[in-house]
Amino acid sequence: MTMTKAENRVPLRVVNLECTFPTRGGTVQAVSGISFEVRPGEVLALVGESGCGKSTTGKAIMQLPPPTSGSVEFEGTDLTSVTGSSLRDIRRRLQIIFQDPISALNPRRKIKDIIAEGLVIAGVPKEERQKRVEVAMRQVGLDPANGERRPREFSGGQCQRIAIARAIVVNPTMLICDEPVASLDVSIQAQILNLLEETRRTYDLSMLFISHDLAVVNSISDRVAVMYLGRIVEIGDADSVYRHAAHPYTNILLDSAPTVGDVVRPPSGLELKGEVPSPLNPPSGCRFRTRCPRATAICAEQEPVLQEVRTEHQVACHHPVVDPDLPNNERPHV
Amino acid sequence: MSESSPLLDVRGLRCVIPTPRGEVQVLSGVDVSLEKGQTLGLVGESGSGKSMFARSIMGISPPHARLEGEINFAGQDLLTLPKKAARRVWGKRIGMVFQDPMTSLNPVVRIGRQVGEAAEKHLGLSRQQARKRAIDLLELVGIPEPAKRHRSYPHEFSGGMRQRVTIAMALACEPDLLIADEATTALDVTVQRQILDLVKSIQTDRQMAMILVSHDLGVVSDRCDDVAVMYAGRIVEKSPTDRLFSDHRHRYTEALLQAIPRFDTPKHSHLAAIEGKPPNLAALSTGCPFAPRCAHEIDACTEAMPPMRSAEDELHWFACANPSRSKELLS
Repeated sequence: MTMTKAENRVPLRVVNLECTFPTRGGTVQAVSGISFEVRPGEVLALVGESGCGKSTTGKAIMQLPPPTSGSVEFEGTDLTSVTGSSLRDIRRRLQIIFQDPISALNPRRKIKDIIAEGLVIAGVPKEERQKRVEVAMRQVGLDPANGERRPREFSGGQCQRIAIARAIVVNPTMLICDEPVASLDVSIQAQILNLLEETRRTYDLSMLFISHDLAVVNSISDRVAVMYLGRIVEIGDADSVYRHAAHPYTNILLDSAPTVGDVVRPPSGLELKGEVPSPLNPPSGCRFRTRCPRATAICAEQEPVLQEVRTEHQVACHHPVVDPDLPNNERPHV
Repeated sequence: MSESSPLLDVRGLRCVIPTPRGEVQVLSGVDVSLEKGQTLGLVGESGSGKSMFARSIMGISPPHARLEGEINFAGQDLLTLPKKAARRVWGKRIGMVFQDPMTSLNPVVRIGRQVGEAAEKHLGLSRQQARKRAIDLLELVGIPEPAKRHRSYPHEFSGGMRQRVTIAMALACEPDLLIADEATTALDVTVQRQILDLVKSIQTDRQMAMILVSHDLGVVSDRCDDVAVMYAGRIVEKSPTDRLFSDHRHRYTEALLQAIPRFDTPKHSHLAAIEGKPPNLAALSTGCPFAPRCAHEIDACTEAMPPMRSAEDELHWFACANPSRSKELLS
């Protein structure tokens, strides 16, 4: 597949993104100053457990709602500084798919109207709309003859196909997928993952793939960012992160993932302590230190910053796990 | 089975639920036998009947469901036993943990009271004794400061901690059999591992039998002696765990294992998805219910339901007319 990289512009650059929510008990710090970029044609995965801020990040990029501070630069425009019709125009190129496909679709509308909505907003004439809806439906494996039906007549997997058709019909350049297969059965999950992969290639899309499932992420993403309590603790080339996880949290996460005999790394032997701290009052210094088996005094005092451990692989940890017998930046063949 | 009968021996269990659109057979003749201290993994997709099976054993199938067959537990058939006698088994000798801990806990009752309740009813303990037992159980399942926390309400706990509480509830009367129905599905992976390790260690200590129901093959892979794969209300393959992963015979098991994204799957590769969707149980045709989605369908598949047959020995059973890795065909 040849990709035409006309410009070497980064499709998405997030800088110091911060999302806080005031509540009666105090301010929830959902995302605390994270920065990353998605490169052209790339799939970047955001992984982490519930409450780590991965979904909030995805929504903040879409300005649903806008972040508390920080910038979201999409194809050269800072989304946090545009509003109204110009934001609407940009959103056409930046689409999102949610976890629960059934609640993401209006139950009262016919699916062809659901899929066409973005085109209506864009002012596309009716005949062209019809044509493009049909193309999008075929692309996702739906029979255009079913366009008159309503979402309840479709299964969860089919509804996710409809949501994907709705996203691609407006010709986006980037897709944010927020747990797109988490609510689907194993056999259907593979169908949707294949469809996303196919769609990505056909439309030459960049993708931000948000998921808690490390094995799913492994099959689809080029780079991975691991989040914990509103911060990115490790980010880099997916193979490097999976095989040479440097952050203790990433190690524990990988150890915990259920496998079916597909182990690509020996268990780290690290164990998690205690419970997730409250996002109302996150720990000082490293946010993982209260649960980290390697934590020392410095972890409470100084916040670790992301630093290169290998090529294309950064970690924010004072005591990273490094393979002792490997010279830095040299990856073995596994 | 000359020495002694197994702890649980389910034979030909059928479950029929009448609906406005006709009767739906959600279980079509399930046979399961489980010895003391043994763990059985039960895997399948939604609608395969795995939860209905677990609920049938526990006596909590839907009110209009019709059950046929036998559920022999410690020599007594729970389906023919008078309700009063059966109630002395459910909750006492069989404990169950559900998927969503919040809906299995009463939000307005202190957790210590909820954990001790079964022991009070079944074992005739006093309030005081039940409280003490509840504190011991909370300690066993890893709740910090149980002497203080037993006075907390469910909303004061995290999801993982709540699930620990429901496990303590299920263990209150020292059951002989624990059924975990998707007990860790709603939890994060790190918490999931902690809970599964906890249940496994308690199970080994107490020589308790366990049925681990899950949609996740990875969850059952290293914690069960045997695994049974369900599809459309039937067990289609059952074998010792390692053999199921290395030498499965049923085409559905094969397809399921191939469809899962793995850590050794190459990037951006095409996954071997199973086409179509699980069958409508109200409109099953004759023959193997997986046949319409199966890539290896032959004429025999649609003619009649393939019978259960053994692979190399009596430990490994499958019901497939055109099995994979068929050694007979190769030789």
